[in-house]
Amino acid sequence: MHTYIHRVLENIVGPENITDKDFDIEAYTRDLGAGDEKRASFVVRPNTNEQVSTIVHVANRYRIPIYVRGGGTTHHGAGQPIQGGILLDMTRMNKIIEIDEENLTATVEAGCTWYKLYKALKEVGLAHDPREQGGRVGTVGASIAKIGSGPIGVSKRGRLGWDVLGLEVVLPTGEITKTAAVEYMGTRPFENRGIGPDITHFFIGSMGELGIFTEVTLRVSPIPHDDYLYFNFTNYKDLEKAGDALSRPVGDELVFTLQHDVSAPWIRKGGTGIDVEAWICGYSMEELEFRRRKVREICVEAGGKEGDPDIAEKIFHRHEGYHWKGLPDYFTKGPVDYVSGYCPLYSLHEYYDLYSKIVIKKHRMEAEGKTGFGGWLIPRGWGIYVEFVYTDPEERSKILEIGDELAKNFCKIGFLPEQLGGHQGLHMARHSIPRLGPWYELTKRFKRMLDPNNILNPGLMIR
Amino acid sequence: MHVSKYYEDIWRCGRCAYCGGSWDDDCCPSRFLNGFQSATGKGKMLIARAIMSGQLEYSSPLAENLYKCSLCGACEDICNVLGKLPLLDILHSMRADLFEAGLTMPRHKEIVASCKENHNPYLERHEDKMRWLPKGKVLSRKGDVHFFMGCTAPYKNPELCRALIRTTEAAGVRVAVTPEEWCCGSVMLRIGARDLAEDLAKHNVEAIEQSGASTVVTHCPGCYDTLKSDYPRLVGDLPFKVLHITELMRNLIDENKLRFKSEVEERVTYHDPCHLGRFHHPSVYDDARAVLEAIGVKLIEMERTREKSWCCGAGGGLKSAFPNLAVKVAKRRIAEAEETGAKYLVTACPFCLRNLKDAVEATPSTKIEVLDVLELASWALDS
Repeated sequence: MHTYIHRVLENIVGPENITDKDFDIEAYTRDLGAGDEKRASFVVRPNTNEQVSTIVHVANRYRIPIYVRGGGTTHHGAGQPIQGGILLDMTRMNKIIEIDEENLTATVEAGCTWYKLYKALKEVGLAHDPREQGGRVGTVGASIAKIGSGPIGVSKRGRLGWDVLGLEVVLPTGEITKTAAVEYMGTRPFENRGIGPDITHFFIGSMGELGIFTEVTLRVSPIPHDDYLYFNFTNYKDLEKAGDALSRPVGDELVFTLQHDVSAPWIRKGGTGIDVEAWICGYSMEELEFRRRKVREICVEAGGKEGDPDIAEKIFHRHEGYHWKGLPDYFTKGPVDYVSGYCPLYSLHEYYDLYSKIVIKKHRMEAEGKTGFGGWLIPRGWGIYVEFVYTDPEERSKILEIGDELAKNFCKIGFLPEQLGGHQGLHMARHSIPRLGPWYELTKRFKRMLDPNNILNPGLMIR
Repeated sequence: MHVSKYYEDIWRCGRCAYCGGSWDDDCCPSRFLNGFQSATGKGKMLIARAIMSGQLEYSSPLAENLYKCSLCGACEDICNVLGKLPLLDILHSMRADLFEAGLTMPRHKEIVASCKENHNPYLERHEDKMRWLPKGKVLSRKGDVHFFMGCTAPYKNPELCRALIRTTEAAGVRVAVTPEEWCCGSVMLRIGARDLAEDLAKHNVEAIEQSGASTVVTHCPGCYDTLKSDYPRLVGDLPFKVLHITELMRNLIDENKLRFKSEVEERVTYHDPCHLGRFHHPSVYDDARAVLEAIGVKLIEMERTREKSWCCGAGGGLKSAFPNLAVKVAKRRIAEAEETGAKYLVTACPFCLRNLKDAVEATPSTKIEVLDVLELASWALDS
C-alpha cells in the first residue's frame, strides 16, 4: 500500500516533490521545541491549491492523516506529524499574488514567508504588521493558522489574524473554498467583515485542523514614522499600571510594540530588573511626537526608569532590527523551548511570581543561565513567554517536566495558552483542554462535521 | 565516525532554519536544487544527530543528497550570527564518513584514483601539467615568489597561467614554478578523502620549500583556501605565506609596480568566489575590486555580493558529480549578472569561470561574457 500511495502522490506533484526516504523524513522530525521526534510516512510539496485538494481527496480515500507545515519554526510541535501520514510542506506555495496599493491589501499564497511579503511591500512604501519574530522563515499561512503573536505590532493591533480579510481554504473533504463572500462576486476582499457569520475568522487559529490555507488576503498599511524608547522597571505591578495607561485608548493604543523581559544573562540587554522596549509609530511627526511624549510620561510615572533607546531600536528597527537579522546570538547556547500564552492586564505579576517560584527558586534554572521570562503588551492584556534553553538530548526531558509543571500552575490561574497543539499533550494542551468545557465540545463538533474521516492534523489540537 | 567529533555542536542546533534561506532570498544552492528540508543545514544537522544516535544509517541515497551541495558556506555565514555552528566542518566530516564507507559518488571515485595516479583530478597525465608554458619560455624552479598553478588552469584554462606570468612579469616579479607540484588536495578534502589530501599536502609543502619561496601565490581560490587554511591543520605551520593573485596584484598596484597601459572602459560586474570570501577571515573581497578599478572598468555590483553572493555551483564536487546541477546553479548567477547590464561578468577563479561559462553556453539568449580578472588585466597591459 505504501508504494501505491507513493505513486498516487507522485502522480499529483511530480517525482521531485514527494519523498519517503528516511533521511528526508528525518529532516522534518523536529521544530524548535523540545518535543519528541515525529516521523511522517511521506513529505509532499504541493504547488497549487488543486494539488492540495487532490492530495486531500486521496487522504480521505485511504484514511491517511495529513499534517501541514510552513517554515517549521514553531516551538510547540505544531505541524509535526503525530501518526505518520502525509506531511505537506507548504513552502513551495510562496507566491505573492497581488499587492493592491489602492485598497491596501496583499494576497499571498500560504507558504509565502513574512520576509518575502515585507520586501515586496517595502518596494511600494507599504508594510504589514503585526508579524512574528521568526518571520524570515515563518510563513504567513502557518502564522495565521496558529494565531501567532508577534511581538511586532501586537500591542496596538493584537495577535495575528485580525487583519486577515479572506482566505482560500482546502476543506478536509478536498473542496476549495473562499471565506470572503465578495470573492465570489469577482472582487478581492477589501474589508474584514463578510456577509453574515465571519467564516474567515472561524478558520483562523484552527491549527490546520479545519482546513488547509492556500491563500491569504491581508490588510496592509503605509509605512509610518517610527521611534523607540527603553525603560527599566523594578517590578511587574508597576509595569501593569503602565500597560493599562498605554492600552486604555482602545483602538488608538499608544505603543505599537511594548516588550518586557527578565532575560537570562546571555541575552540580557539593560541590566537588572525588567527590560521594557517600546516601539512607537505615527503617520505624522506630530502624532509620533505626541505618542513618544505620552509613552515616556506614562512609563516614568508608573515607575519605569528611562534608559538607552538604542536597546529598543536594535531589536525593533523596522528594516534593520534584531528580528529581521535573525535573532543574532539567540541560538548560540542551543535550542529554546517555550511555555507561552496570554493573561489579563493586572495578572502579569502573578505569572512572574509562579515562574520565579517554580523555575528559579525550585529548579534553580536562572542560576544556570537556562531560562528567561518575558512577553509583550496586547490590547488589555499581556503575552507571556517562559523560555528554556536546553542541550539536546540530555536536558530535553528535564525541560519538558519543568515546562509541564509551570503550565499546570499557570492554567490554574486562568492562563490563555498560545496553542493547544503539540508536545503530545504536554504543556498547554494537557492542562488546558480539561478546563475548556463546552467551547472544546463545540469545536470538536465542527471538526466532526467538516472532517468526518479525521484526516487533517489529527490529534494536534482536537482529541 | 568523523561526524561524532561534532556531537555537541550538532545537538546545539536551534533549528531556526535560517540557514536554508527564506524562499524569497534563497541563499543555499543545495536547497535551490532540492526543495526538501534535508538539503538545508538544519536538515543535515537533524540527519547527523540521527546517524550519531543510530536511528539512521549512511546510505547511497543519503550520500547523493549530501554530495548535492557545493559547500559554498552560505549556511555557515548565516549561522555565524545565530547558533555559530561549524556547519562546513560538520558537512566535511559527514563526507569523510561517506568516503570511508565507500559511498562516494562514482565520478568522485574516478577523481580520487586520478589524484593517486596522476596527481590531478582531471584524469590528465601529470607530465602534461606544464604544457601551458609557451615554447621557449623558461621559468625558474627557485625564487622568492612561487606560483602554485593548481590543476584547473594548467589543464583546462592554460591562458590563465600565461596571463598570470605576463601580469606578474609586467610588474617585475619573476615567479618560480615546479613541475613537481601535485593537486593541492582541495577536491579530496571536499569529497572526504582526507588521507590522500594529507599526502598531497606533505608532498606540495616539500616541493615548495625546495623553491626557497617566502610567498606562494595561487590563482585558484580552492588552492588558496586549501594551502592557507587546511595545510596548517594537515601538516603544521607553513614556512611561507599564501596570497591569492588578486592580493598580489593589488599590492603591486599600490606599490606602483603594476601599471596598466590603458583603461578598459567597459561595464563589468564581479562574482566573488566562495573560497576567497566566506571561507576566510579576513575575506579577500576588496582586492579584485581594487584591481578592476585600476584597470579602469565601470564596476556595477550585483544585488548579492561578497558574503551574500550566490555560489556559482561548481565547488564541493558538485560540478564533477552532477554537472547539470552545477550549471543550473550557475544560470541563476548569470541571470543576476545580466540584471546589472554589464558586458562582462568577471571572476577570479578558474572553477567559477568554467562553470559560469558553461551556464552561458547553455543559455542561448545570454549576452554577457564571462572573464577572469587576469584576462582583463592582460587586455589592459596589451593596450
